[in-house]
Formats: sequence, structure tokens, C-alpha cells
Amino acid sequence: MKAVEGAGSVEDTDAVEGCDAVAARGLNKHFKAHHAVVDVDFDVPAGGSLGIVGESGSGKTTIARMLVGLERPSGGTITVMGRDRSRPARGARERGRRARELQIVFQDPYTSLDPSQSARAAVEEVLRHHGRDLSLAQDLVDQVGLTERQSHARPRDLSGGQRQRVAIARALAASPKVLILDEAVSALDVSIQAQVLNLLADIRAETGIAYLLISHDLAVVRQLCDTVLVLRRGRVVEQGECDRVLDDPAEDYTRALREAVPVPGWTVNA
Amino acid sequence: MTAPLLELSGLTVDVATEDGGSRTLLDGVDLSLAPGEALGLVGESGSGKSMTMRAVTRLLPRAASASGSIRFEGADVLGMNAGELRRYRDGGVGLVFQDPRAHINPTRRIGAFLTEALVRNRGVGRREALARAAAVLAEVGIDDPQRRLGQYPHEVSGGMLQRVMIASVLLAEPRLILADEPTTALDVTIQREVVAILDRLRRERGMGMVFITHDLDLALAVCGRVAVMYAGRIVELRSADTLHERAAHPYTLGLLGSRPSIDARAERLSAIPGRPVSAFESGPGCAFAPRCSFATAGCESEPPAPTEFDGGLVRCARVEEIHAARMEAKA
Repeated sequence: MKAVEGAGSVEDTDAVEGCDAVAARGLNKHFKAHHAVVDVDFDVPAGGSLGIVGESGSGKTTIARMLVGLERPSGGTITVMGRDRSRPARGARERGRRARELQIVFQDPYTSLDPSQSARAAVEEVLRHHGRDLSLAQDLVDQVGLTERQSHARPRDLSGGQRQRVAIARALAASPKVLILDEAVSALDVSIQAQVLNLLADIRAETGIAYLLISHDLAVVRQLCDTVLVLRRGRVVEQGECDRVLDDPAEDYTRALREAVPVPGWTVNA
Repeated sequence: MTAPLLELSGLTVDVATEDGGSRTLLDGVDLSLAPGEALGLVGESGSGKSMTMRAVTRLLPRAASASGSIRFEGADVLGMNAGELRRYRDGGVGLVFQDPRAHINPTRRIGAFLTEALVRNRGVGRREALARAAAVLAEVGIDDPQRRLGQYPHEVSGGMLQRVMIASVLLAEPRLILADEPTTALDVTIQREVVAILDRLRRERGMGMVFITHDLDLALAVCGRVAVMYAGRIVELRSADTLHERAAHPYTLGLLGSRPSIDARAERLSAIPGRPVSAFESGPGCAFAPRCSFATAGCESEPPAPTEFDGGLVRCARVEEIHAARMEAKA
């Protein structure tokens, strides 16, 4: 597998050096009276990998939506590569820059890809938009393990795993420093999920990109992440190194989450 | 040896295509379930696990046809007439689906949903039916059942609604429960509660259960025996408590290696190359051969027969050689 040059490297001249890839401080989001995210702090170091785990309604997807600018925080700050993005981007130039800092891959690639566009065309469109060399498209398609034939197929002719590879290639085409993976492997068959997890680990090792993985699956988080944040009803339950939090949880909720995962020897009655 | 509750032999499902041809979805499934037994059906997309359940309940898509035999308490399910089929579905088998919101009428109260079958099919009085519904809601661990009966589906959580669905199945007092990914849409802590309820009720009432899931470890926890399906066939069948140590089919081994562990990070997951296929996409031989690292030329031409191996049933022509090679590598 060949790494695509430029992916993960610092391209923009005004990027802030030596800062965390993502930092959230006192992050809050209220929807009327509902407090979706309450006083959340976290950091993703450059090239690091943070998993945010939580059950339905924990606020994990709201955090992702604030990072990509689909929701505006009610309070607190989020910075990506040291630059604040608590407010909407002003102008095309800033939007472009934000896109080159952070990209997202959603759970269901079928609804996030243009049904009329081949993988190749989707990747080229992003390259063109960011003024990058179109010849990189081949490398990106190779990097995510799509064959020549698959790269010219429409999403409906691809399997779930192949579509997710297209979504990853498309995201990498902007050469982001951070990739948000919002339940990006949850809907995949087990054997395909393993392929995509291996692929994501390879991409991080080759490019130094940082990941923010949103997942309900503790085993997937452990496989892909260095650090983990456990979220419940919008609040941080605990956070730290994956090994420490998962092997020696400080909080009952983390322990309950972990014990609810079926493993060899697990029985249905707690 | 008691008579089986459910017995499938050579169950095959073909679906007609628009161009006049046909595609095989299930290819010769043999399975036997004793009364009160829990059996897991595990597989990926296209493996045929849900199609097996639809065939058992005669809920196949219009274009599909089943052959082979399905026997429920000795009765031939494929040969049932409309009246027999109604009685079989009413009190014989109960179905629990993945997404209760898609299967419960959102415009009617939970009480109306739960009592409809009792009132219409069995002539139970409305008041008596509501009392029974409240009792069953309590059995599935729902507090304040009276209040729940008056609520609409959108007013309760997904986990609660799945309990309501289980309660509706219990009201019909079936001898067999077919649960198709009943907890896949639920949070893990809720999943645990729901499978514990299914397990307890199955034991208390002596019901048989076929538990369909993509999660091998969940099936092992819930079931006594587990059948692993691939491309419309059962490729391995063994008791749940020995599957981890004795898994012998390369596909089962691949599934076990693919799943990340919660206890430790793997340097690399031993992913199976390629993607899962359906029965009609596979060649004349073993459907798994194109993805199998042990496959030889013979595997792709000759379909393997199920053979007894190490206490289980395995459908792999090279199972003994593969087992020997693995044992040698381990030693």
C-alpha cells in the first residue's frame, strides 16, 4: 500500500505549529431545554486517535456535528489545528481551509455519497476543489484498496465495505489533518469491518493523520484508538488511555458498559 | 431422544429473477431443534440466516419458493393450508424482529397492539385481554404496565418497545420463538437486559428459540448450539461452549479472528479477504473457497459434504488437514 503524499502533512502556511489536532474546552450544546452536551473537554494530539464512546443520546454525534460546523456550540470552544471553529466559517476561503483541516466519514456511505458519481469522480471533485493534482486520485483509490473496476462503479454497484472505502478516499482527498469517523465501521459485516479497521490503522501509520472515532463499540475503539472518552447524557464520565480506562475503569458506568459486551464466557445473566 | 420441535431438511429457497431465471438463496439447510432448546444462526450479509426464518414462517417474498422440508412438531409446514398456517403462526411460532418501530403500528396505543390478537383470534374479552397484557409487560420487566398500555410507540424508548414486542409474542404462548437480530439496534446495556429476558422466559416456559445474529459471541452466550452460515449453507454447527476452542471451518476461524477484542489491541486483525457472497454468486464448489487461505483447486469444483469433526458438524473438504496444520503451528 502506498501513502499519498501530502495527506496529513502541514500544507497551509498559517497553520499553528505544535498544537493539538482537536481541542474542546467547556463545550456545551443545548437544544431548547435539552442539554445534549455539557461541559465537555478533550484533546486529540496531532497524529493521535481518540475514541468517543457512549450509548444513544449520549451526545457523541452532536460533538461531531459541532466539529464539522453542522451545529453551533451553545458555549465553550472547539479548536482544530489550533484555530477556533466555534463560529461559522466566514467566506469560501475559510470553509476551504477548514475542509483541509478536518473531514468526516459517516456510518452509512450509501446516503453520504452521490449516487451518480463513481469513486474516481468523487475523489477528483474534492482534489479539484482544493487545487490539488488530479493524478493523486489513482493513489488515493489504491490506498483504500479499491480495484480499477470498482473505482469506476457507481455506489449502488458496490458493497457496503467498498462504499465505505470510497467515502474514506474522498475524505482523504482533501488531505485533512483530522478525520472524524462517525460510527464509520458499525454497519459493516464483521469480516469487512476487520479489513477497514486494518486499512484505517495503516493510513494513520503512513500519514500521521489524527482520528476522532465516534462509536458505541468498545472493542473497535480499543483496536483503533490511543485514548478514549466515555460520554453519558452529554457529560464526560471518564477519559484517559484506552488500556487504563478499559482494563481498570474508575467509574461504575464504564464498568457496566464494558461488562455488557459479549465476550467468550459471557453469560446473559449479570 | 424427544421428537424435534422444528426440523429442516434440505431446505432450499430459490427466487425467480425478472429475466425468467432463478437464484438460490438457501441451499440445502439441515437443522433440528429440540423443545426448549436455543439455537443460534450466525452469519454475514447474504448468508441466508434471515431467509431461513422467513421460510420457517412461510413469509418468503412473492417471487421465492421453498423446497425440501420444514417440520414443526411433525407437521409439514410447506404443505399447510390457510387455516393450519394461521393456527401455526398464531400459537406455534412467534417472531421478534430487529426494529420494533417498523413492526408496531405507530398510530395505536400499546394496549391495543398487545390485545388485538387475543380479542380477534381467540375471543378473549377486552378487559381480560388487557389484564393479561399488563401481566406480560410486568414479566418482561416493564414497570408501571398500566400506564404503558395507554401510551403510543413513539412515547417509549427502543429498548422498551422491543420488550413490548417480546410481550406480544408471549401473549400468543408460542412453542418456538424466532428472534431475528432482536438486539442489534439497542445499546449494549439494554441488549444485555433484553437477551436476559428472552433467556429467562424461554427457560421458564420451555420454549424453543432460534436466535439470529451477526454477533458470534452474543449467540454463544444466549444459545446452547450455534450454526454458522455462509452463502446459504450451514458451514459449521457445534455446541456454544466448545466453539471458541474447537472451531474448525476456515470461515468460523476467520470470523473469530476478524472481531477486535475488548481485552487487548491486536497488532493486526486477521481479516478475511474479499466480501461475503450469496448462494447464487458462488461457484459449483465450496462458496468460501475464493476467500479461503487453505483452498485448493478441488475446493472450487466439488461442494463439500457436512462431516462430523471434533464433536461438531463441519462443511469443509480439507477440515482434517487444516486442523492438523493448525495444531502443528500451535505446538
